[in-house]
Amino acid sequence: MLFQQIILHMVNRLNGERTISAPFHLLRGKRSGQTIQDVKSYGFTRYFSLTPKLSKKTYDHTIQMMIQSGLIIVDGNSVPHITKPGIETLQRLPELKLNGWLYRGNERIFFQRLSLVTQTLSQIIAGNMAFDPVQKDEKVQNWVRNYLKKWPFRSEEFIRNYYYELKTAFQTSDLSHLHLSILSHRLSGFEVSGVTWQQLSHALKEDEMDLQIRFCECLHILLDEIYLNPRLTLLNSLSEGIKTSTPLTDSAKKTADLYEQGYTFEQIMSSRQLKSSTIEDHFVEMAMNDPSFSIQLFFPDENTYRLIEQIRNQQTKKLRTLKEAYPLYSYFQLRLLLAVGGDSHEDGSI
Amino acid sequence: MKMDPYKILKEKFGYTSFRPGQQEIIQSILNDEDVVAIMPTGMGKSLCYQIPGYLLPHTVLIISPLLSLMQDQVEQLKKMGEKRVVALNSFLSVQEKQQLLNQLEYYKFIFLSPEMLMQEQVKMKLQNIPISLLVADEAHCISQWGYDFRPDYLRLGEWVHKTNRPPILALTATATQEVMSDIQLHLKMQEPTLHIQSLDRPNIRYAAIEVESPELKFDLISKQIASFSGPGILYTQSRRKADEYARNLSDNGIRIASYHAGMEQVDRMFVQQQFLQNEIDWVCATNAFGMGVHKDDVRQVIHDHFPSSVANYAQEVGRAGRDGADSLSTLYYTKDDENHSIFVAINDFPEEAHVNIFEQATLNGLSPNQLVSQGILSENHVRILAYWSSRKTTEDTIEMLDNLKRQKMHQIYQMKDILTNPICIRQQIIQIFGQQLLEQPENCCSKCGLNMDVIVSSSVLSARHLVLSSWEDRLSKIFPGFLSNEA
Repeated sequence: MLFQQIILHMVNRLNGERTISAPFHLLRGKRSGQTIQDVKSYGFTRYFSLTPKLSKKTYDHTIQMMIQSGLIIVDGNSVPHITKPGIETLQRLPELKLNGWLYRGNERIFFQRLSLVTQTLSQIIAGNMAFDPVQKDEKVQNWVRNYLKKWPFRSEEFIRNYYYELKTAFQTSDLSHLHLSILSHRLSGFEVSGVTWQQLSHALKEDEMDLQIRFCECLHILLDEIYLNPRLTLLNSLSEGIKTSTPLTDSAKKTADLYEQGYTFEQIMSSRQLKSSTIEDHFVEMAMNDPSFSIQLFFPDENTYRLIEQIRNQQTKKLRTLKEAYPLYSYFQLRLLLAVGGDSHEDGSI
Repeated sequence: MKMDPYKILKEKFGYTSFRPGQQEIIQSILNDEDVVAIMPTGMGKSLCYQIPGYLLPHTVLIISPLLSLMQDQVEQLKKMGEKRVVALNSFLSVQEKQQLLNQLEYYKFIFLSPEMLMQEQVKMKLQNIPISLLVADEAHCISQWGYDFRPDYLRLGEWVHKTNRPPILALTATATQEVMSDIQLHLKMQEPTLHIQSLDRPNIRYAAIEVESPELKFDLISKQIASFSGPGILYTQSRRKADEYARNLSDNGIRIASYHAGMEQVDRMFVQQQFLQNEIDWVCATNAFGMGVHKDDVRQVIHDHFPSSVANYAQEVGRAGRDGADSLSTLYYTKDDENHSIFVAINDFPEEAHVNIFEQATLNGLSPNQLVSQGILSENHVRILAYWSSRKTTEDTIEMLDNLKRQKMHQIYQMKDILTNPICIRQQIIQIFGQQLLEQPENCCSKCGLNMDVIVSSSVLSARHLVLSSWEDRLSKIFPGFLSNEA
């Protein structure tokens, strides 16, 4: 139900201005100009990359179920609209402490590290070093190997400190019973097997998908806590590189760097061998994320403040509608205006 | 250097005795002989090159055509504390491969897929490092008479010289004359020593049971699982079915979990671990389950379908009774199952029309990915066709795919025949692998007469079911001993 409520939340805010695939791309954390603009314009930072492995099949199936139970309708242009029962269901959406835009799926890497370090230390206590690592990804294994080597990781003192840090972090008030139940059963150790999603779903009488969303929320809360509490030395080190240091996508970051060095739009295009539409996407991203970025460059003879104000007062974020109202401006210009002025409801409202 | 395989067995691997055949094979290798070794799968053939690896001065090079098998063997060695082990296969990125090649001489055990052996830079590098033993794993794949012919494997022959080369160990679980002579011919082996174990597993008893309907099948399987004890594996054909069985059976109080390739890797590890530690008695799985699951006391294997070949069947039932104790393998089928198995086997297999579409599209500059995303061909089609299009002409590809399809169907007919004709199942299985049955155990199979009660004990419903703990309990179980020290 939680998953459906989240989709309802997005459908409601999208206000009939995007097709049914917009929430899908956003949930999967797609790094495209359109999706990234949606994140900002419609206030979806929390949901970005919530379910990176969501398959089209599962998503379509969920949408079908939502249509069947009358929560949404999808019109002939594949645009979803929320219904009255949909609004009622949406109103029961609990407050979620997700921060997808900040962690962008990296919380999963954090968990891989956490689970492998935990398993290894548990095996060390038992004096058993011949075990099957629970994480098979060699990158993660190497990372953990180097991490552990920084400390006398076989000493009782180190393991005790790690254990206490875990306990301390788990006690942060934002983590619920459900969060901790999921998290602690996804960890494993010597003669302590982990519990599969199917088994958790059976035991907790909750949907697998909803549990995974709660798990993601749990990791976000945990990471927030770790970054806020410098005394959690070992966990801070374990979270290295998990938080996004720049809000830009990697490719947009490169464009931004060139722009800062004084390259023009055209020079960036030719030096990066990219299409102008791609570079446009990057500038929109920069406009959206960097408060010091000025879009004046693209409006040589205009008062952009006045334009932004006008755009903000329009009851739509749909480009085509805006283009009809402002035929003299290019789509790129309109997107820039939206990017700067569109950040209107990043709050708890539905 | 004193060569004592037994000492290595004990110190490195923690075993106190060899399994049948192992010691003789190891001795032949240490005597510098070429060896063809035939052993049933899962009965310790990797040990036959691992132990010499520790006794010989240089690298052991293992050619392995099955990626999952290769991965498992690498993991097993690593688990044993061996760091000098590496797998070179198509999963590696260019940089990763380059990095490994640069330090290749460091490794004691190098696993290679046959296609890697053909790459120039790999070939060059291997010519420059000293090799003590060359192992051809799953050597039947080199023979077109084998059930799993891999053309790339043939090229291994181009690579080995007649003289001035390390001894070769060819390992397989197929003993037909054609396969054996192909192996010796293509690998240019010099009067190899043959070590042939019986491929029969006398402690495994076979039952094939026909049922009227799929519903009845489920009922009977549930009944068997409820009345006879595990640990056991229930093999089914689809992910959905595996989940469904697991849900239904666990509602009936059975400690069971599902396992298939659609699950997260960590979930799959959890199921393996629970099974190894007897926290669950049953795993309900697709054929993705088994590799890497080293559990000796599996008492039952149940199938609800015909596997795609006798070789696959033998491999799946062979996961039972590795400890030598009596074990039961039961297969339930309905009359329609044969058609269903054929459908599963060839449903996604490219045909002539697909080959032509692929050729045409390539000529028009469409990328394989576009064909998939536009729904013209399936991923599987493209994977197979892309591989062959660079190696064969269109006509040859069509002919070969047609042959392969026939072969797949034939293998299913053969499977069904063995289980449904009136002849002893055991005898027929080992005949397919080229041996004759010398001795027949009592309660041999459902055709010779089988009393299940003698083979497996009745089931005891376990009181310990999965119960979630509080997170504090859970953490202190993972880190035992710290709780009492807390202030």
